[in-house]
Amino acid sequence: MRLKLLVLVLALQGACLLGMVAMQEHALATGKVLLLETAIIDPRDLLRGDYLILNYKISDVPGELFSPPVGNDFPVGTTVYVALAPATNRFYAVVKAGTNEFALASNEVLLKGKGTGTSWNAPTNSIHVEYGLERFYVAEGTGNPTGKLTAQVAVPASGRGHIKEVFVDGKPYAEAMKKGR
Amino acid sequence: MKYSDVQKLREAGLITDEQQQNIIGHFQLKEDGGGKFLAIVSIIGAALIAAGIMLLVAAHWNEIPRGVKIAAGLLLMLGLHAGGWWLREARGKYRKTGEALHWIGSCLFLANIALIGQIYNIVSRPPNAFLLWWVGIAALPWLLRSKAQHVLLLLAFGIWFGLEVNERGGPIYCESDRQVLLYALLGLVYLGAGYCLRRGRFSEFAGVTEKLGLLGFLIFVFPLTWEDFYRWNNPEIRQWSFPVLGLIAFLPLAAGIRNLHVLTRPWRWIWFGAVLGMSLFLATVWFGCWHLYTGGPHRYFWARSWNCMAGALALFVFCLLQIQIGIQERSAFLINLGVVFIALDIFATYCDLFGSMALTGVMFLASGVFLIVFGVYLEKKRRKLMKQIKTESMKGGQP
Repeated sequence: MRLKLLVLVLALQGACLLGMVAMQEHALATGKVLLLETAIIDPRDLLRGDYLILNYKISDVPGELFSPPVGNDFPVGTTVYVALAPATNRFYAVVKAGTNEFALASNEVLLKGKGTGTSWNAPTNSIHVEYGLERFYVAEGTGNPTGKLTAQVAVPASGRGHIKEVFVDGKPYAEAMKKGR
Repeated sequence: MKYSDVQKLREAGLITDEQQQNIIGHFQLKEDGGGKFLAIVSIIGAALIAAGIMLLVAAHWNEIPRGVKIAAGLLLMLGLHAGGWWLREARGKYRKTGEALHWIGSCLFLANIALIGQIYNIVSRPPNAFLLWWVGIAALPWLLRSKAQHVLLLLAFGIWFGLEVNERGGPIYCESDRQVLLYALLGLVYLGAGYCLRRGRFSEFAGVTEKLGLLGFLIFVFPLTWEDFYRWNNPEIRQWSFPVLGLIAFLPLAAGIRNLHVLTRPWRWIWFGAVLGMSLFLATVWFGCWHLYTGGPHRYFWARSWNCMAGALALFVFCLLQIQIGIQERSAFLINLGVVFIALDIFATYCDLFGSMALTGVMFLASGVFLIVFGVYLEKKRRKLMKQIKTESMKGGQP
């Protein structure tokens, strides 16, 4: 009996881990793929190793793009929805934002994030938004890329983005860093 | 008396086979004399292996496909549990080693959560990963009847609690000096749970739960003896968590105190009153009732005043009561822990008294004499109590 219960607990542990994997794989496979401009800041995670903190151009959303417009008193932790549309340079940019879901034009993609306050280094009256796309785990000692960073992101219908790949000057990150070493 | 000694007596022909078995049975001697040492070595070894695997995972290998990494992590975790079961239950001979394998398996569940987070670049609240880990391993101590798993479960909950308390926007967010009070209350939750566990099917988990709880409580009471403690206020903290956690701590404590059968009824109430009183005292300190200085951003809860002596005195009295309870309960842990915290209390008070040259000089003289006399007295008393407990245990037929 105890063995059966142990097998059940371990099966639940395994199912939980595989469920996490399935959710991520589903989002990567079915999400709309966007290209975003980004830049880095570089720390380390005790359990998961080196990673890049990515700061996207879309991370700072001008207050006037919100409907209705918002100011410096924007509450921290508020859920933010942004509509992204391809700009002239093939990268996606924010065209609309709000604290509730809204209707999208045919070329727009809805991305969900959380407001973390006003941006200190962005144009005045900008809200800093985190989308859960800010960490990219890399091989040990390769967290110092030089070159233009871009991120390929999959956004499923839920609006929660997932990083597919990060490029350095157009090359996949691991490949670019291997050549650089 | 060791198992090997009895064996030597038998080999020398001084006792018969039957007498040998009777002695072994009476003193409940175990064949493996180095069991404790083996257990400690196994746990340290298991912790090192788990940490090594976690670091290897953290260093991640880009060349290996992600499916292989996940499968390897999962199979390793399941394999360790299977090996642990086989050694501990099926063979029954290598119980400690089996327990160590189960323990690594449980740590690997956390490592696998971290691995998936790494592979898919998941940005989530760190407490969630630890909560998932805690939920995942919650059934194992009871299922395996393993103290090591139980300790891991208590530690996992403590880590989650600490991270959640410091997670901005979280349900129990308390990123201020007052979080010390929350940790002390969590210690009491463990202590109360340990008392409740004394009566029931899992009474073997009671001791370790109580010990961890009381240790936690005293560690987070100890800052009261410091004259300086940086005070930082945070208007965002969730105030409701204090009374709720206090209630969660005192309900099991009140229910479980009846299980301290060795204590007389008045002593049970004295001990309960001491814990309750100390907690209320803590709350008055952390909620500013003793706070005199209000100007400027760098404020201290004792306001750098003689009020800190109240904290030192409270801890001193609490530890004396704890030692008295330890004597009655014949608990070496309670006595030793009480003595250690009295020593720490004296040391902290000693440091608090640094001031002008004249004051420091007088304080050095007085406290030096006090420390020597009291230290000698305390150590003699401790040794006497230990000897007394040992003698009473032997008389009571306990090995």
